[in-house]
Amino acid sequence: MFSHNGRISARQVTILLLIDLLNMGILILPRICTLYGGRNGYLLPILAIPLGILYLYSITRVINHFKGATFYEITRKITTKVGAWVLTCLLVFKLVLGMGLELRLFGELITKVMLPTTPLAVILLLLLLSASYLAKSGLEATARLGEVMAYFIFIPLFIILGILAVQSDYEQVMPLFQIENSRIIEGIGSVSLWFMPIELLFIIGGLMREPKEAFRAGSISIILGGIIEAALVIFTLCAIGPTGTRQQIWPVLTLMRSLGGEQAKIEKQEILMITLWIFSTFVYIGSQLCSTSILLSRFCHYKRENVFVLPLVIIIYFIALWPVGLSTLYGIYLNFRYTLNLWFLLIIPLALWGLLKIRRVKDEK
Amino acid sequence: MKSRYVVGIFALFCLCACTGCWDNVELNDRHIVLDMGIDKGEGENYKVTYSIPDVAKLSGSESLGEEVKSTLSVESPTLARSIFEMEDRTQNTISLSHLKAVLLGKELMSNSRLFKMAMESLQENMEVGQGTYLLAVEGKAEEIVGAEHYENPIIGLYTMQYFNNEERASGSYEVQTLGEFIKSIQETGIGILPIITENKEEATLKIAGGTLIQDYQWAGLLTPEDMQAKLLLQGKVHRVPIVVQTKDNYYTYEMARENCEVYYTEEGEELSIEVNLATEGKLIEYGVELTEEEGRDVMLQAINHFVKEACYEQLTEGIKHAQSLNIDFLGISQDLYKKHPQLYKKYGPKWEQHLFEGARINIHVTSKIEGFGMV
Repeated sequence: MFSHNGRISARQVTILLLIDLLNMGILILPRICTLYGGRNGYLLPILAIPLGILYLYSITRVINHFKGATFYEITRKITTKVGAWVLTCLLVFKLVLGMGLELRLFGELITKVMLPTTPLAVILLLLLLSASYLAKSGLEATARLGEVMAYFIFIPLFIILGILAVQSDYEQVMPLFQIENSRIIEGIGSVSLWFMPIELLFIIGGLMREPKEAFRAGSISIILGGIIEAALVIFTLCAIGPTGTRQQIWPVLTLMRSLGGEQAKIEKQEILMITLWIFSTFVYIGSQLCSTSILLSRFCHYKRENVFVLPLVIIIYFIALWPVGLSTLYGIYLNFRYTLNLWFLLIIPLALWGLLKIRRVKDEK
Repeated sequence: MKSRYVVGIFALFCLCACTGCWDNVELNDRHIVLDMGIDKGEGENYKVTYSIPDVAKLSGSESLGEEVKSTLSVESPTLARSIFEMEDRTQNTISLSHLKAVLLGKELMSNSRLFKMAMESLQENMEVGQGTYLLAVEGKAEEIVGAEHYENPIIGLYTMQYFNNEERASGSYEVQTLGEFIKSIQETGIGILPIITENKEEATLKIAGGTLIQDYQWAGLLTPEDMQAKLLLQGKVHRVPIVVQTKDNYYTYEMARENCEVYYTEEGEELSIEVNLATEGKLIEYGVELTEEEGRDVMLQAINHFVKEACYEQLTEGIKHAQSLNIDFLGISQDLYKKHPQLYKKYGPKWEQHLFEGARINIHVTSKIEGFGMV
């Protein structure tokens, strides 16, 4: 079924990025948006889209200059050998830490909602091993599974959005357009960091069948992701209210529980939300793990691209087990977002682009 | 070949996980609580009453138990502890995943600390749905949860069916769920819980009126008429029969639809509030034959006039009650904030202090009789 030419289509990239974006945003974005924008926080994911496109532009300007290259080869050609090592190690560190924290968030959610007495370590291991099997099959297989999973993720999501659209009390988001300007700018900056998964294009962008399509694929993901996330923020605000959304670490969990609310015809509708969250985390970890393994293989000049999957699994597992509790995890997660994301979304891509122009590196296309 | 074995072992491992791992519980090992009552106990304790239905009996199967439900009460400093203590007394574990209704006693609602903690505890408990109905009891919740109601033995099922029946006329109470109540308190500081009462002689239950809660503290009683005024303002009254009396006859007007618009204008340094209520309905009972010869149009005008008066009076009384309590349970200030944030900036801070108490609210009612007569 799976061929191993290691190339993926623009459509597959769009789906992978969109799933990754949703997975990152579903749990934490409603709270962040409400902290900055109050009852009009739903505007922030939409207003952050142009900034996301700017990040994407800066990344694709660099990767489009090279053919079939990943981040390591790109930095190697633009900077020095040491520079490439340092930057690649930083990116790998960031990806691995991100996966570990995301995995732990998944574990905490499952423990809280579905399996309270099952040890966290077992839950984490189950997902990680399943995702590692996917990652081991290669980038193409991961992307194809992403396409299949898209149905299982987006169909429940649209059913949920449909139910919420009907039962929401939209008065909660009134009055409209009442955010202070300073908070809007701060909020847009903070929310735009949520577009972090597009940095994956540094690795998979060069492995696309049509690398030129990377910008289009990324743009579609950013725009669709922004719109879906804005809708989720609106529905969270309507269901819980601005105060509740601000107070809770994961307001979406309460949103899930309000799905089966007053006069619901079907009980336990929240299972739809949990289903899509589990599948999206699976695809997220699988795609990130596979990409990181490819990057490390290129870095070490190994022919086999999945050779680093299992060693990475062990590291990610221990990172996921590291935070003591939920509040510690949340603090680490937010610090991680603010300190590392902007570097790989804007600063490093712009620096690489600048160097590319200054050093007049030959266009390989 | 080797990888196939690895995949096979992995698949078997995943299959084992599908049973629910450590959380695998048989349904028979669980007490599924459908309703519970929370009262204030001794000192700063809760007295929680759990109603545990005999699921076999409820579904019509043979059962060893005699009663369709059993009620157990426990005194405890927290709700979580009460579950622990309950489980000490039963062979099964307690599951709140199908909880339909929570009844709250008056004493509990008068103690803001205990009340707030109870609500937050229920919200924190992932088993409890946000759509769980909340009801107030003007005495002890334990008495209603534990009483034997032959027609409606399980209060949780009774309230679920009661509120889910969309055919029912709405006008004397407002449905309240856990999520909506907490949201309302957090956003406005005010919440209203419908009151459930028991007629011991008939062994029946009734839901009407409301208990006013301000910042998790009992603040007053709202009659069914107050509730109707609130619902009229929200445009939520439907199928409510209004009886009007002319010279020697009673006429029943059923309000099919109503629409209420509230307008705010600034007159000098004063806020002027205009309430425009428009109702549409039909005469469903009138006793005499209404023919043109007998002055039907004049009669309809007279009935219309009385309907308008009845609605006007109801709104006026509701507003007066809210002003006398100085608690804006009608949601006028929230409406002002949502529709006119600039005006709210000016008048909002003074609203609860003294402005609402003395606010002049002008009411205008129009009514329309859509149909009458035999079909």
